[in-house]
Amino acid sequence: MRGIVYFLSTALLLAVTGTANAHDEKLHRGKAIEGEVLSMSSDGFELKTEDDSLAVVVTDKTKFERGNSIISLADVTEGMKVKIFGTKLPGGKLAAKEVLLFSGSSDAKNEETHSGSVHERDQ
Amino acid sequence: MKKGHRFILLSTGLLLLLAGGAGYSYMRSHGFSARATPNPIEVFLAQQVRRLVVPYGVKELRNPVQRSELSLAEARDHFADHCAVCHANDGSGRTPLAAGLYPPVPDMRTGYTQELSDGELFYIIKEGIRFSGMPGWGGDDEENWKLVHFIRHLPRLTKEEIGFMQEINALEIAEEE
Repeated sequence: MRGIVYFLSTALLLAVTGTANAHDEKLHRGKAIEGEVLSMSSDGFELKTEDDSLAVVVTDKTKFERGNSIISLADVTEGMKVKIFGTKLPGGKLAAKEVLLFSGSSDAKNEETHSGSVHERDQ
Repeated sequence: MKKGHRFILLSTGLLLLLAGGAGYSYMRSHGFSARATPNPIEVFLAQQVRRLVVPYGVKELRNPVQRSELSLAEARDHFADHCAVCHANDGSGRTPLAAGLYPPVPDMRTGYTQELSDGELFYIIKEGIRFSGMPGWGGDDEENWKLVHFIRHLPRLTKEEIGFMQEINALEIAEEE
């Protein structure tokens, strides 16, 4: 009886933690590139980083998030601060797998929550 | 049993015994090190066995994944993350880990690997090679097919791409520490 209880508790815990997060853990593999959106383009946007600027290419598999909410490319505007996990392409472009948006103080709190969970997962 | 047949049977048995004894003696005197260089006969036999172990129909499989700049880049990062520890970023097989593997890790840029079909490469990635250091990764078929594209691209790998792979290598080391 005790074994069944432990099994069900574990299964429930795994199910809850698995669904509580909007992110695919695999997408957070790699080092994030942070920057500010300079301008929008037909296939993504231009990103200003600390050192330079680069073209970010958005594909149909790119996920956009603000805090724990799923959003879309349409929600990305110039001036927004973003953190991107992606694949570097020859020539300096970045194909985005996941774009995390934050702009303003209200999003900063969400960013902290997200960054914390990302940090835990990366470990 | 006819006299001739008995003679053949006895001779064969004796030859096998002598060969077995010679082999045993050789191993005991030279050891069974994984760092040894295979002799040409062993290399030939291993190559033939590698082709034979691929099931019917697999050799003829064609890569269903469209080769693109993005699929190649994703496979590149995947390779740097999972494969380069043995195969090296450039596919040469020149890594500290590979130096101690037997059978040796092949230089995948050469004909030995490049002559394999897409299906054979896919099968080896997914199922591995028994009694060798090549594990069967299983995993997502689409990712494995992308890796096949990348293996085909190895002879033309650029310095920029190797640089990207080294960033992934460094990330892997940082995470382990």
